[in-house]
Amino acid sequence: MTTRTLFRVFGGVAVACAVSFLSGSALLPARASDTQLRDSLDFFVSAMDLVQRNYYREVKASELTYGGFKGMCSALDPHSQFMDKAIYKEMKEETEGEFGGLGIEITMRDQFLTVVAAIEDTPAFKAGLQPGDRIVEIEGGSTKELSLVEAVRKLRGTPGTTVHITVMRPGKKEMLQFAITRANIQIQSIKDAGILMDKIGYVRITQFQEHTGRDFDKAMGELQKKGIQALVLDLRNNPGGLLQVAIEIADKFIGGDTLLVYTKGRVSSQNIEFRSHTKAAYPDIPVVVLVNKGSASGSEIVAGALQDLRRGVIVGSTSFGKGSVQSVLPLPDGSALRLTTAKYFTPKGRCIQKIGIAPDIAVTMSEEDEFKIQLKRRLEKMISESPRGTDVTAEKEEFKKLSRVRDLPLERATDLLQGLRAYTRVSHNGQKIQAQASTAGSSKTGVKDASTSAH
Amino acid sequence: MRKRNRISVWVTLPIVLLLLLRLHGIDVQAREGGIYKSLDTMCDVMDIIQRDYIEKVSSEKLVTDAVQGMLSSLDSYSHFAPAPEPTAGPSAGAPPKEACTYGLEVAYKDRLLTVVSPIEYAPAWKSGLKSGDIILKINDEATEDRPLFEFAHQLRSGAGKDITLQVARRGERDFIDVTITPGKIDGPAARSDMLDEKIGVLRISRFDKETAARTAECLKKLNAEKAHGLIVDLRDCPAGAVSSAIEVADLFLPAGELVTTLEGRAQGVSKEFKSNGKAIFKSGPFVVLINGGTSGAAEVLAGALQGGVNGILMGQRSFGCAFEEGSFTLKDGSMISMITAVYQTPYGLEIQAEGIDPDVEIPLPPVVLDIDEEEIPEKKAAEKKEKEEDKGKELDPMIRRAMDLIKGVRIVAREEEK
Repeated sequence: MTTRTLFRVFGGVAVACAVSFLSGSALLPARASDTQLRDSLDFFVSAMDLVQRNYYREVKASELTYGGFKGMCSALDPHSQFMDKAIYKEMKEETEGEFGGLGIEITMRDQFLTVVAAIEDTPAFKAGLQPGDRIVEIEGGSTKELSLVEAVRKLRGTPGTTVHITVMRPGKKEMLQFAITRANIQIQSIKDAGILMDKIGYVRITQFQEHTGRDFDKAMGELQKKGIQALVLDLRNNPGGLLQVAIEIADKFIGGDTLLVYTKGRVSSQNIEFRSHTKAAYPDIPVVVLVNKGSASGSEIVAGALQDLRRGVIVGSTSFGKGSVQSVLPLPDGSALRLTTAKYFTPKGRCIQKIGIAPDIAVTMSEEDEFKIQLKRRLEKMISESPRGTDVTAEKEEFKKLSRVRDLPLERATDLLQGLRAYTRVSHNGQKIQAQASTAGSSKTGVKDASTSAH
Repeated sequence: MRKRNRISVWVTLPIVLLLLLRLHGIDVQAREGGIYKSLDTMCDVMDIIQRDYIEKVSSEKLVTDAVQGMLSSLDSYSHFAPAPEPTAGPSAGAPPKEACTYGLEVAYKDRLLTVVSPIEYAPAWKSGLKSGDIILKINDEATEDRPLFEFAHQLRSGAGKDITLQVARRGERDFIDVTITPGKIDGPAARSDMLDEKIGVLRISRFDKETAARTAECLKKLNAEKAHGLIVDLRDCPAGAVSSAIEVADLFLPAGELVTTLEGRAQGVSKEFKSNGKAIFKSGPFVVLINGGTSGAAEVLAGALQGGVNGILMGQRSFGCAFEEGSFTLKDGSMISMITAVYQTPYGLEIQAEGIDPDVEIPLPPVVLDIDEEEIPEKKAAEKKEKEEDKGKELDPMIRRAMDLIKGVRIVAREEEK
């Protein structure tokens, strides 16, 4: 079937087709016979020629074609994009979650390059950089004219090399000089792992990047040592990341060679089914997944799989609804295309594009409260992690003000897990309710019962 | 993967060769300057998209978007207009004449659609729009990421309809809605006044057909009043006809002085403009007031006065927008507009994008947002009223500083004469 469609699409030139079959990739369009393509290119060349001759300053041909690629890709859909070398490199670093740097989160505030936080155990943290510090010089050059991206580029570099920065600290009259040696910084995607109460564990995944699966196991290992009996998996404001890694996370909860998600594209090579391993890492632990409208893509794959397979209860508000998969296709010159190549579907065949995952139990929170929760979390961190001797009274004041803000979805999630535990205890002891075979295979049904009762 | 690339080279190369043979007018330089390689990548990219993208995309669409992307990567003014549909009416033609207008110049600054300046006495100015306002919405439609030319015409010309802009203004906590009814500009392009100590002030608010003649009248009047020293106020004076600015410069500059140079790469585009020796006002010193709303023709004049009569520029860095645009029709009837040349000051400074830095910088007052004040609207209103009353009574602080500067220069000059 596939072959037929492709032949129809691309027409003749059997040679090209045969060769590309051999090479194992998808078909090449038969360029030599494609007069439309030739005319189109002709058109682009004449436009490019006009610009090269008439534009007021000289522009390289490569600059112009790069502009062309950008235009072509971004007109396709909001998720498709042309990445030049620098952007592609940054994207790789981001998804790999590792780069040579100082270990600070920076932002542009009041036109100053400002430190948001120094990540624990990084060179910046050890050097004593503090939230609110303004970086006014990097390697003797002023940061005044730098964009955030340019500044990040200057701060990052090969681990082991040193960067000199000048910092203006609010409340200090003199500039502070720092010489900080760059190290391999790992962006943590697993955050705030801990026990909420009563043997209920909590793990937040901020995005799905290369080491997320490994780090998740590490966090879970520690929680299990502490004897957790239930888990809140917080995927709120998780924008996604690597598809494979999201699947890896879902796989940890679902065993028995079960369909987790499948993708469908125009080309058959994009039609893939992703199934779980026979043995899941955490097949039994009751799970509540928190989602909100900031949960997208990979988060929705995890939530969708757990929901469809009745392996977890979804609590919160309807997720973002990004149901497409992007592939990164590198070009020979070091740049790359990010293209939407497929749509994905939950095990039950739901396409969540623009629809999102609706929670089993809807608990909404105002945007303002959500912001306050984030602020509270950040303040808490600043207070507990700031080096000794730093003045954190202002932060403590702020924190006190926010102490009344409640994370309602999280509270509901813990309520639910507590109730669930009581319920299954009764059902096991009294033998009143039999565990039923679940679609997921090995699930012990605590959660399954809960999800039915929740409807 | 590697194999595939090699194949694509084999298939692509003949096409590219064929193409280059067919095309006329590509000069040798361009051909050797990596066009081959760029086009090969172009083929690769189109190939990948057409093969792997989730939907089928025609080559035609891809290439149209590519040309658009190529031009918008140059700057925010250059653009591509696809061939008009045969049914399209006269709306695609030239914008209506300035008889009925909003009187508003906009441009992208740091990727935000910004009011360069409302033209004095024009409807936008009367409705309270300020230079530097960031336009967030036009008639409830977000302006984000839309090409400039789409609304540049819309805002400049006005098709007889009211327009509502939502703007963010420096120092204001809330967004402001401004509704503009198109109308006429009903004030003079130039006017003058005599201040203390025989210091004249000339205000030019726009550059159009009447500007040079009006300015000449003003200068004659100041001459008659024996003005000695002149403040040329070019603040919030947006783009207009550069030819008009050159005529105005002629009223000041000694014969043969460089007014401005136009620099481009195509043949016959670059030009030097020199003054024609018809100056009518020569009694300096000159102080030229500029700010972020000084743009285009006004920037050219400011540069000319700085170079030709030692004018001292005072205020804030100008907007940075002085170019000539060329339009080129492609064979399918679509059109490319791009910057073909940019104006330079006599000192060789390119005005485009950078703007002109003042000799004497007067920083804008810092913005202080006081929460308590915000909560007492009556108090705020009272203070505002007070401020406005003050304005009526007192001289603009910038003018006062310019006067001080002229007085100072006179004293030093006299010393030197001795």
